[in-house]
Amino acid sequence: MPQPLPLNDEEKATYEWQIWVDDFREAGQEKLKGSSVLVSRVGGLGSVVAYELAAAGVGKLVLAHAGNVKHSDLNRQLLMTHDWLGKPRVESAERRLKELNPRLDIVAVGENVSEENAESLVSQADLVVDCAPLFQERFAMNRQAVLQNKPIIECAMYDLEAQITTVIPGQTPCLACLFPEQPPEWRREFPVFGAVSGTVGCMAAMEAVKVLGGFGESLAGSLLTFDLRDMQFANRRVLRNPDCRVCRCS
Amino acid sequence: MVVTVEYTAQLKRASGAARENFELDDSSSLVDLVNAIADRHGDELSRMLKTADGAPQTTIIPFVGDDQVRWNASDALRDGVTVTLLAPISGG
Repeated sequence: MPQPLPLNDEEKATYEWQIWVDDFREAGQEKLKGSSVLVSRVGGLGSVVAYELAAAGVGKLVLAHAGNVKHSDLNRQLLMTHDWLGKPRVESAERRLKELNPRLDIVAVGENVSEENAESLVSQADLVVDCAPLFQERFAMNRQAVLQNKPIIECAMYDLEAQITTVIPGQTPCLACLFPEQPPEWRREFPVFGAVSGTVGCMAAMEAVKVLGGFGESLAGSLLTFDLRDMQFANRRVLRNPDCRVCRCS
Repeated sequence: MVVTVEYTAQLKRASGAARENFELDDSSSLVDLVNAIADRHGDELSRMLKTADGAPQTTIIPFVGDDQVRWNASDALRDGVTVTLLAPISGG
């Protein structure tokens, strides 16, 4: 896990309100400063995750997202702006995050996670937040997170619903325990509101802050599901798969 | 026994309902329940829940109450339980 880094006076002033949190304090903030997080991608979910982590004072973000900003991104991808249409998403994300937190170290990669780059991307971070739409990207990240023994926050949304869990390799179910193969009916594009991806994105950022800061109780071994259509929330117990192709031997 | 089924995400959309009840024989299994759902709703939901050879899709996660159960659990169902069928979703 990350090495804490001492805060300067400006950082102590910036993070004063969260340093007042009893079980976090300055020691927790120093852990965040020494931490790095991979966020893939920085779309509806990942934009909000990255923005909240930048605001919270995580020291380094590794962002992976291919492609250029499109009109259909703008209902939910809050790091993308109208004036950046047709230009690289990851550059828009880096620009917006730097406006918020100029101290933040950003590694901006204009690629989506794949089997080819997952090992390298995951190796640059202490923790991963999976915000990707395609299961092949998600499986590649999950496999590397398990191999490299790094926590991974899994979050997802559809319509007004969302799911989130925290994977601690060797202790909790991993993504491949839950979904052992590519879901045949899953489609890359789906209905969703930005407020739904934003809600679960904030939750994912808070999970990351808790795991990195070493406080609170994470969703390790639990899957939180909610539906904002009727405001029903459930915290469900999930099972490791003894035959999991990824984590059975870890 | 009567079992309440809760659908999520694409399953909810395909079934047209957030939840509904099924009356089953007392010895019924989760696979029997999936077959009853498929019989009631037809092809689209059936394809989401079952493979071509009729087995439950392993990417649909069944819960009884708030606890995940295995598809092959023999005694998962009893009168009055709520079974949630969780569909796979992602970010984007």
